[in-house]
This record gives sequence, structure tokens and C-alpha cells, in this order.
Amino acid sequence: MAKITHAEGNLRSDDRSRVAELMARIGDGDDAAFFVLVSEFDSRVAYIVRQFVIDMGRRDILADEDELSGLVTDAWLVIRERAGGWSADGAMPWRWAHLAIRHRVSEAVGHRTTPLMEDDGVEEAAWSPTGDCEDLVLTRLRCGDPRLALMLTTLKANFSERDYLVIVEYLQQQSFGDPSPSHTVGRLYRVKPDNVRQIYHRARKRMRKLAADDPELESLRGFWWLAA
Amino acid sequence: MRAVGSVEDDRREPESDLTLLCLRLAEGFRLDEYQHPVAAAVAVAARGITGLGQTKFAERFGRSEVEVEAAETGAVAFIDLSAEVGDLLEASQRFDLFQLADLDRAFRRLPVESDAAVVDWVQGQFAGLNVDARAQAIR
Repeated sequence: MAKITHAEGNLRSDDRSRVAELMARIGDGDDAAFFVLVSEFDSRVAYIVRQFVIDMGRRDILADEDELSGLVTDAWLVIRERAGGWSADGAMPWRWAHLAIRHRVSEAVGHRTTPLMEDDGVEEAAWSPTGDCEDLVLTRLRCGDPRLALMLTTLKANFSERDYLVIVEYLQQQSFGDPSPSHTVGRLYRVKPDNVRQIYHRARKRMRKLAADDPELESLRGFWWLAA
Repeated sequence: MRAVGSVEDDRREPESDLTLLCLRLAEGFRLDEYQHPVAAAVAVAARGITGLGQTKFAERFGRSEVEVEAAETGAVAFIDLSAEVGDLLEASQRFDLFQLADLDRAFRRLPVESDAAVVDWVQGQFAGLNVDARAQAIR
């Protein structure tokens, strides 16, 4: 992906109509137009992603071309997923979708409030649950807790993609200290806060039942997220 | 470099690598249960290089729209994609066909001996490719 760092100041007069034409085609399911859009406007999205990465305190990623390229690709896929909802009268797609892009980048690289993992060769003490979901982000980054991995896999297998994302984002926002995660998640996924809470609580209830009924999920029975 | 069949003007973006985008698209197609998801992504990418709609793309390369649609919806296997698809991707220099072939093989879970067919196809598609294709493709 492009490593250009300029913002949108050099938009050409015909850029907007070009973007509108391509976004309309993408919204109609023409993925070839998606490749055209990426080819012609990659630097805009690359710039935004770089800004998010810097904002999240992860300048180290800027030096990793492969990882940065992956993030930019993710950002483009966010735009593709939402192409049908974009309006040519509004902001350019990468500005319009910047919250969702930021969310995707955050999922991938962490957050500035999250301690970075430094491999200094010293073996760390095994992670142990504290009963507090503040451990979630750190644990996800470490991928060190098989029960969390199992929980996420089970969630993904048993819920729609939207609900899965809502649940995980809710947990993540909680762990960030968000006083009202249902509102934040609701804005991100265009779901009413009440519905977010409902999705979240139904998920916990269903996961408890799954853990109780399925011997393969036995290890989840004492997991903090499912505890009453 | 201008891609074979390209009708677009040269815009101001640098030539970024689009292999990863193609791979991700293929993963999505796989979830959508396309029969040949990598081939579909490759076919879509090839038309994307030209900037043409399906009808004009078909006309330009002497294909029927049905053929183009079939390739883009995963009904055509990777090794059966028409020659212009490989030509376009190769000429654009923005795709690593070996990576894409690897993913296609992984999706299809081909036995090892089938690698040769994929490598032969890749070599056949990309004249002038100055690498040891077999060494790249077999891991």
C-alpha cells in the first residue's frame, strides 16, 4: 500500500465525481471498481491509517511496512463493507468511515492506554484472571489465555457477525473505561444503546447455557465473563 | 507501467501492491461459499486494472459477458482462468501470483503432486518471469 503522507489538500476537482462513480459501482457489488478506487486513492486511506496509528501511540508500526499495509487493506475493506450507505453529498468515504476505520485499526494494534508488549527475553509470570474485564485488552494482545480464545471462537460461531462485533466491542470499550459502552458501541454499529445492551446480555446468557451443556466448553464455566 | 488493456489515465497514486487486498477479498468470497474464491478475486482484480465494466471488458478481450461473470463469481478454477487475466495482473506488477496460487491451493487442499499443475499454469501465464517458480511455489 502507498506510504504517501499527504492529506486531502490535493484533491483534484474531478476526484469527487470519480469517487462517487466508483462508490456507486461498489455499492452495486462491482468489486472491480473497488480495485480501481484503491488504485487511485490509496494514499488518502494510508494517510488516515498512519494518523490513527500515531494517535494510538504505536509509532513502532510505521516502520513495519507489512503491518501498515495490512492495516490500510483493512481500512479499505471497511469502506467496501459500508459502500452502500455512503452518500455522494457527504464527506469522502475515508472521512465518512473514519470511526469504523479507527475501530478496525484499534482492534488490530491496540490502544494508547494499552501497555505495549516488549519482548525483552524475560519470561513473564503466567496471566491469571482477576475477575475484572480490564484484563481483556491486554490478554487479547498477548493471546495468552486459551479460555478467552475459546470464548471468542464460540461467540463467533454462535452469533451473527454484527452481534459478535458488538459484543467484543462492548467488552473492549468497558476495558477502556468507557462509562457508557452501549452508547459508544451503538454509534459505531448504528445500533440503539438499548439494543446493544440486549445483545450483550443475551449473549452472556446464551454463552452460559452453551458452557453448561457442551462438555467441550467446560473450561468456560468459571470464566469471569460468564460469572454471575 | 500501463496495464494491458488499461483505458484509464495515469493518475497520481504510486503503484502499491494489491496482493493482500486480493487475498482478503478471496477470503471473503470463500465465506460467501464461492466455488473458486481466489480465482474470483483474481478475475475481479484483472478487470479492476482495466477500469472497465463487465460488458466492455468482455468485448475488449473477445469473451462473452457470461464467461466474465462466471470467472468473477468463482465458477472458474484458478488454472482455467483466461489468459488475459494473468496478462493483466502480470503487466500491472502489483500482484504476487505465487501468493495467490498458494492461497488457492490452500483453499482447495490440493495434494502436493498437484502443485506442478499450478506452477505450470503460472509459468505459462507470465512470460518473462525471471524466477524459479517451482522453488517459490512448493513449500
